[in-house]
Parts: sequence; structure tokens; C-alpha cells
Amino acid sequence: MTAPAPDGTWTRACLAAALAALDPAGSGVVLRARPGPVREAWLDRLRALLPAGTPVSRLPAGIADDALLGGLDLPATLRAGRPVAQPGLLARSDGGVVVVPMAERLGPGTAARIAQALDTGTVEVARDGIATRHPARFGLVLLDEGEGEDEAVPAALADRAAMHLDLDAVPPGAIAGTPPPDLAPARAAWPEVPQEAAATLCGLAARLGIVSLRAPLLALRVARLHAALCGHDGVGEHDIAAAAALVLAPRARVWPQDQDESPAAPPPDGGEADPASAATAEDRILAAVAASLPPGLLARLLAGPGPRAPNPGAGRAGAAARARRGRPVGARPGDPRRGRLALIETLRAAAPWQRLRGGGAGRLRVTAEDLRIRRLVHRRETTTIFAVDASGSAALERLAEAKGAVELLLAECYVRRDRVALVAFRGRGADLLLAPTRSLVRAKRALAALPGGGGTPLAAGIEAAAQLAAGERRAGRSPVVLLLTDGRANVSRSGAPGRVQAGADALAAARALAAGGTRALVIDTAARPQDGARRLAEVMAAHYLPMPQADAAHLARAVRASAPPG
Amino acid sequence: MNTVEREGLSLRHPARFVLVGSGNPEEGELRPQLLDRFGLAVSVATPADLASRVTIVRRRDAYERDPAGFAAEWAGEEVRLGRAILAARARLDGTAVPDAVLEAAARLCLALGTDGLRGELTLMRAARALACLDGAGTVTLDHLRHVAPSALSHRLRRNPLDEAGSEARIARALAEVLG
Repeated sequence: MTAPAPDGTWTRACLAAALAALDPAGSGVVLRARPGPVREAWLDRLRALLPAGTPVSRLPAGIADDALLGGLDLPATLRAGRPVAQPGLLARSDGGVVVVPMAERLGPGTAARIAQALDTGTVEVARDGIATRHPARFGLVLLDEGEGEDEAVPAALADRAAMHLDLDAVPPGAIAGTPPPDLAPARAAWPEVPQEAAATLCGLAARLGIVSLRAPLLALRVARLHAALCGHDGVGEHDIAAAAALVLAPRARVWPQDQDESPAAPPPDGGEADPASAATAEDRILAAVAASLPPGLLARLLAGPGPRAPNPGAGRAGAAARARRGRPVGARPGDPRRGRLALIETLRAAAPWQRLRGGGAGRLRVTAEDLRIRRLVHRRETTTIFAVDASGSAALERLAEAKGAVELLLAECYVRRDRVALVAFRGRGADLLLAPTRSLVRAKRALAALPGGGGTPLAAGIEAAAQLAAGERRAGRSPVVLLLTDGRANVSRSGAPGRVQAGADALAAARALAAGGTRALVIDTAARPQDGARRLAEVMAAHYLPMPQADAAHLARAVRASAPPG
Repeated sequence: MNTVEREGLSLRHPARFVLVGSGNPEEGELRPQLLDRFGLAVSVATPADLASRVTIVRRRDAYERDPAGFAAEWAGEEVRLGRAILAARARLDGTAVPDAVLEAAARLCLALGTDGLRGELTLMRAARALACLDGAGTVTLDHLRHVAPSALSHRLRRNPLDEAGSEARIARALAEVLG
């Protein structure tokens, strides 16, 4: 990777810190960086730029609702004998900044609650007999420490944060720099926004393929902040370019096209703005934005139609044990607001202490530490991973029929409310066509668009499926791999042709899959059942099903047999 | 009506309310028994044309700059709309639904194969409400045609893998039944 001048990235990050400090609640930052001196330096800089006394709090990813939103202060309530409310973290951060380390681990529910607080500027508590509303206007700084593609900041929050920064490429040596600017004059300023600014930003967003409407809105806000910071009277082209580089560029989904290739933005009719100059202004800004596009973006855009939607980082391996629904399996000490009170166990825990606590006849003294809640175990969700052989040999035989079989299985998954993912392998490697989703329509679409032809990189396909399965297991779901192939591997792991090496690699990958404990089902798509696929199934400890028998009923039964018991 | 019968209590509270649900179709679908209880359904997407996007960004910016002024600017329009709705509500009892409209609604639901009778009931209520809002004395087939997509789109029994939108199917059925 040819890194851009790291100093440029750091300068931009410093600018973002100043803009975020000017109006924390109006901007918001997603900071992609591993923990280290660079990230700490940026956070220190942000803290130094904020007015003295501004609250800066850290929000742990696994925060409970009562700590986040506020609720009953249970120990104080029990002591006082009347309900005592306590405000949550968001309400206490009103007017300040909330920093979320490991934001990619935020659950979707927590993310939705934070998003609602961001949208309304208030936190409403209506639970435990308390009904209050606290103001909560805060700036959000999401620290994204995700490894790889399958961990990302919840989309709902990333969309609401104006500036997206990536500090991974900044060397620690680059951070010694300029002292933070004085923001007092900028705070008082309120620069004018010309009419065409909104049109320019919307046009830019459209040309970068950004669907969300929040992006141009946030860019407009950031442009105004930038103008205030620079002491401009009104928002000019320079401010819009800076805002587009900070807000729009990181969200780009399409490499900007030349003006004559993309449909030109409708020039504003009349007015003093000359259409030609407006269009060229947009082009100039676009060129500036293109220079600040993240370096990996082009490769990703060239590799496929667009980066796939990030997976909502829902749940973790421990989620099953903290389930809120399911079968009770005993009790544990805990707060009854985080689960269901286990009355008998609570009384049993309180009983030995009654004499010490001075409980008389007919009176029972229960304190906070006696409280027991039910431990529940929730049925794990299943993710069915389809690994489809789309190679030339399979295409020749019966790719269409394999697609038909997968559609039958998809319908089955729909009935069971499973998640599905689709991996296809052909040519030199394997592609993840569909990240785990519940949307069957998307699965169907991905499948219909699947082309056939090329060699059979069976090992790569099995490995991709195994990797996906491991990710799903980490997320607390049970993966099942369905491999549809004729078993005739002819492209080895390294991408070189050759049947012998390819076969050995495929068996090794299959063994690794089985060692990971993933359940699997091999559907032989060859016209005549092949030894290769059967042997693969044996090594994978998988069910084996030749396709000539794989009619709807058989398939359904086989999938049910390999799915984990409910 | 909300009935409580537990822990030695037996109560009935009146509970007439409007349920507004929002969801992301990519995350999965609602269960049909719940979906059926919603009267109307609309699918909302981010506008894709530049002009309306620019308008939205400008208005939002105006609101952020001066929330009170923005509210005052639009207050007149809101009051007018509120009055129109209240006046329409007063007309609700006096608005007749001709048998021909009911018959067309039933034929439409039969053609689309919706389960139960909630489809017809919603069609009738929604068409009547629209007629009142328009100030028309009686409900016509045009009113029915107008409300049919939002009243029926979520009631169609659909193949999860069928990509044809429910709106297209309703448009086809409307053309067949109403001509």
C-alpha cells in the first residue's frame, strides 16, 4: 500500500478534532485506529480543545440499559425506602463528549438507544416507576478497533457521525505538531451559508454514490464549522472542499466519474451563479476529494460492485449465557432489572441473615445482595453457509440445478428464520457473495447473478466457508456449511492448476473445517456420484448427499438433520 | 380494551390507540399475524432525485439554525392541515359507502387472495377517511384505488423468494377488477 503523506492524514485529523470541539453535538467522529500513542494523542488534543469543564466520558461497549439511560438506583432505593432515580451516562454527558472504545462491539439495541438520544437530544426514562426526560446533547466519538471486514461500527451510529478518520497509517513520530488553535473566536462566529452550498454537497454525494441524506447534511454543518474556524464570513468553496474530504470522501461507494460520463447535476436556473462555473466548482472539489479518498477504497471498488454492507456487530460468544429469553437453568446474584427475579432463591439467600439483620417475626429483611435472577439459556440462532461450486466442470454439469437446489434450501431457511450466507468459488479463488443476512431476497439475487466457469479452487472455497463459520461462532450463532460441488478440485490453494495438489489441499481444508467443529453437508452435484465428493464428506465428518436423490424432500430432511437441535 | 387477569386482579382498561411501527426490511420480516393487524403500510426510501434532496438539506439546515423560527414559518400550514383533519373527522359519520365500492373492495381482496377480512375492512375505512378529507359526500372507486396499495401491500401472501413487488401485483389486480 502506498501510504499518503502521513503528515497529511494527521493534519486532517487535527482539523477534525478542532471542528468536533467547536460543536461536539453537531458533528461526531468515527476514529478507526488501534489503541496506541497516535489515538491517545488525538483524544488528548480533542480534550484540550474543548472548553474547560466539558464532561468527557467513556462508554463501555457492554453497558447495561440502566447505566446508559438512567433508572432506579437500587442500593439507594433500598436504603431510603423510596424510589431514588439516577441519571444515566448519556444524560450526565449533556453538553460534552462520549467516547466509545471498541465501538464495533456495541450491540444493536445499545446502538439504537444512543442513536435515538442523538436524534432527539434528550434521554427519556420511563421504567421502574420513574418517568423523566433529561437533556442529552453530546458529541459521539466512536473508536473503531475492528479487525478485518466482519467487525464494523453499527451502521446507525456511523451514519450519524459526521467525520470518519483512519489513523492506522499515521506513524507515532508524526504526531508532534502544532499547538491546538484557540477556538474562542470561532465559537462566537456564525458564518452565512450561500444557497448553492447545499446543492453542491448533494451533487457531490450523488456522484460519490452516497445514498444516506445525513451525509450532505452533516457535510453542510462541518462546512459551516470550518468557515467559522478559518474566520470566513461565509461558507466558500474552500470550506466545502474541506467538509467533503472529511465527511463525504470516507463514505464514497463509487469512484468519482468524469463529468461527461456521469449525468451532470442540473445547473441552477437563473440567479447570479453561472451554471458553468458552478459545475466546475463541483469538479474542483471532487478532484480535491478524490485526492483524500482512503487508499484501500479503489482496490475494494475494483474488486466488486461495492464494499458489502458491514455486518451489524450483534452479540458475542457470551450472548447465549446472558440471554433474556429462553429456558431457565438456575439462578445467579444480580439485578432484577437485568433479568427476571427468582423469588424463591432470593428468599433463600436472605433467610440465613434474618436474625443478624434484626428481622422480627413476620418481617423479612431483603437487601440488594440477596437478589437473585434467573439464568436463561436461549436457543442459538443458526447460520446456513452455502458454499457453491461455480466452476466450469460444475457449470457444465448442472449449475442451474444446483442453484435450484439452493433455492429450495433457502425457502427452508426462511421457515426456520435462519440467517444465510453465500460463498461461491470458481477460477482462482472464493468470493463471499453475501454476508450473513436474514434477507432471503438478497440471497436469491446474489445467487441468480452467480456466473459459472473456470477452474475448481475447492480448497479456497472450503476455507472461505470455514472462516465465515468461525466468525459466526464468535458472534454466538451456530453455523452449518452446505457445500455443493462435484468434488473435482483442480486449482490448488496457491492458485496453481493441478489435480493432485488441488485434491490434497481440498482434503486438508476439509479436515480443518471438521476440526473447527462446524457441521457440514456435502451435496454432490455431479451427474454420477463421485468418489471425490464422498471422500471429502468423510473427511469433513459431513452428511453426503448425491444430487440425483436431492429432491426437495430429501434436501429438507438432510438440512434438518445437520442443523443443531433446537 | 386491555384485560388484566393475573395475580388476583381482574381489570379492564380502555386502550384505543394507533400503533405505528417502523422497521428495516433487510433485517427480516414481521410475522404475518402481527402484520395483518396493521391497517396501512407504506415503504419509505431515501429520495433519489437531487432536487428533493437539496430541498431536504436546506430545510433541515434552516431548522437547525433557528428551530423556533422554522416552526413558526410552518405553523400556519400545520394548523390548516389540523383543521382539515378535524373537519373531515366530523364528516365521518355522514359519509356513505355505496355497495358498489364495498363489492369492488371484496373483489379486489379475492383477486389478491388476502387472508381474513381485515383487508376489506381497512379498504373501506381508509377510503371513507380519504373521501372525508377530500370533502366528497360519498366514497367512490377512485378513493378505493388511491388507498388500495397501502391498505393491501402487506397482506399479500407472498413467496419469500418472489422479487416482484407487492405494489405491482396490486396495480395489476386493480386494473383487472376496476377496469
